[in-house]
Amino acid sequence: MEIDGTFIEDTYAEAFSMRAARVLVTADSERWAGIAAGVMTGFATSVIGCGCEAGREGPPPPSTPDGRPGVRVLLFARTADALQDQLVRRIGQCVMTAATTACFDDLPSEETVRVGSVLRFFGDGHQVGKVLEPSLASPPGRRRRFWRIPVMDGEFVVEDRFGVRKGVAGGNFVILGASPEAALAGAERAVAAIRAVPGVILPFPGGLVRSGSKVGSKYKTLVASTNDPYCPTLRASVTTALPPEVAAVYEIVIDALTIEDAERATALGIRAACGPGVVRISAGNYGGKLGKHLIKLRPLLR
Amino acid sequence: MSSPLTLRLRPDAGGLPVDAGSLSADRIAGLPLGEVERLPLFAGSRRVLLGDLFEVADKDGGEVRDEIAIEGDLSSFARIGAGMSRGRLTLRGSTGARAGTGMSGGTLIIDGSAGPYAGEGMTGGLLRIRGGAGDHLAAPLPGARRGMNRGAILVEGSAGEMAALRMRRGTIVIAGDVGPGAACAMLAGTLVVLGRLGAGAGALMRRGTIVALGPADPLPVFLDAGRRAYPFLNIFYDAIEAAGIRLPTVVRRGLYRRRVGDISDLGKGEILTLEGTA
Repeated sequence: MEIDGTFIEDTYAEAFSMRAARVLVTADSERWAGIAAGVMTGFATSVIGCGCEAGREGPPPPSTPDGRPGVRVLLFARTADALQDQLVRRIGQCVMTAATTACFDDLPSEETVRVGSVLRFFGDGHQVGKVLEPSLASPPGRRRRFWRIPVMDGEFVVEDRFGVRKGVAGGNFVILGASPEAALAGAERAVAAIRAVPGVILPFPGGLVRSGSKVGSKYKTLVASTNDPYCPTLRASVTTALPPEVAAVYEIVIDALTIEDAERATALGIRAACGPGVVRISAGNYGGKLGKHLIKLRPLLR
Repeated sequence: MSSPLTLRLRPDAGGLPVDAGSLSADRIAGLPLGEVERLPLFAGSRRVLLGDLFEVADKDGGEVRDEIAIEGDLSSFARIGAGMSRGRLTLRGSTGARAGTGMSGGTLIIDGSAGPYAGEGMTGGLLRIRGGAGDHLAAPLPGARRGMNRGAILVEGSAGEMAALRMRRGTIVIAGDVGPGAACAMLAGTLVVLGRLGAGAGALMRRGTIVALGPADPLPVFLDAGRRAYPFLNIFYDAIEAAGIRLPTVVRRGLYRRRVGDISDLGKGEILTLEGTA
């Protein structure tokens, strides 16, 4: 199968279930909401070393609870407890500290974790709880509590609890380019296309990753190490996965709220990446033995 | 969609005061027509049957449902919707004292006005009064230390004296004026008043929020904490407007003076008064 001269391998990505939360950060301006979201999602590329994976999701929402400009952020972690820990740390240290911000749950769910109810103690007794009664909430029946924590530019408003749902992490595809420039250009086209998809984030810097990893290492303490079959400088040292004409590889890693979102993002991203200088598209998997979700490339593109 | 079970007040029902505690969705829902007509009410000191005072119309032939409509002027009826925990009861008319007393859930809609003590001891649900409400809206039950403790009350007209006395939780919105002594000794919760806030509001208030969008003259035991925007109010404004109460557009970009008090008590309550726009 080829798209715009790029060969699509008959393979699949292997993705995993993780717990997801969606946070809506608002501020007096979109700029400050973006700054808070950017800091909150910094150092959140991989659960392997960061505790969670996080990123800005899609375009800004058309409306927000407090009527101010807002930015959506998705966070993924292995368990609800781990997600709560990350939410408390990142909202407390990165959003509450940012000028004029507020922070709301944007993923109503049966399962919730405490966030505002932990952060409120920063108010040192001056915090104020406000409850939106279930009969007034939209949709009715969802009781929402907010904490108003006094800070030096006014009040930081944060929701008491945040919804948690099962999400999908580790969706991916790999872009093999005839030159480093062509591989990067293809990856950037993919990132731009995927960023418009709701329910999806690309947790790595600029939406792409150059240091793709494999499971395990020759060093016993490491759980992951460089994906040597895809490293062009190692083609003479290991069993390479690279055709001779490939000079550089970038991986797009996709986390999504649902498998359908991940598949939609994968298809859009691959179509955008294909073109001159992009030799081949592949995907990372573990033989189908580890991940719950298998995202087959070719059926998505038909 | 099924139509509600309808109770029409008989023209000869008389003007005696009636304890209408049986007129609640909990008591009526799911009962066969015959049993609905046999529910007891007290007219004066006399025990009567619901069927003596109302014609019961059931278009859907006895299907179990929890939506009930009552038609007629029930100004001499007290305790309509008492203890409701679910369902929807609509009164197409006005009613007397203690409408929705002890409500813990469901929706009670009064198309006309309600007498004193509406929403007394409420712990949940929605009480909507399209006309005005009498004195002691959302009062504590007799002998209780706390007033309203969860739930929402929307009054599209004005309310009388001593609304939200010792309120503990919940939200009350009054589209018109509210009389003297609103939110006295409030413990927590939110009272939003679109019209004039009566004298003495928030006296002995410990915590909680009064949002005054109309004229207000807070007591001197509330200290000025400056004027600023409070974007969190938009969360409540969205909910209020979604419930069908129109708000002036100015409130969303308004600046609010925050006064904290009552400093003769705990002093952690607040009165937010609308003062200009950003």
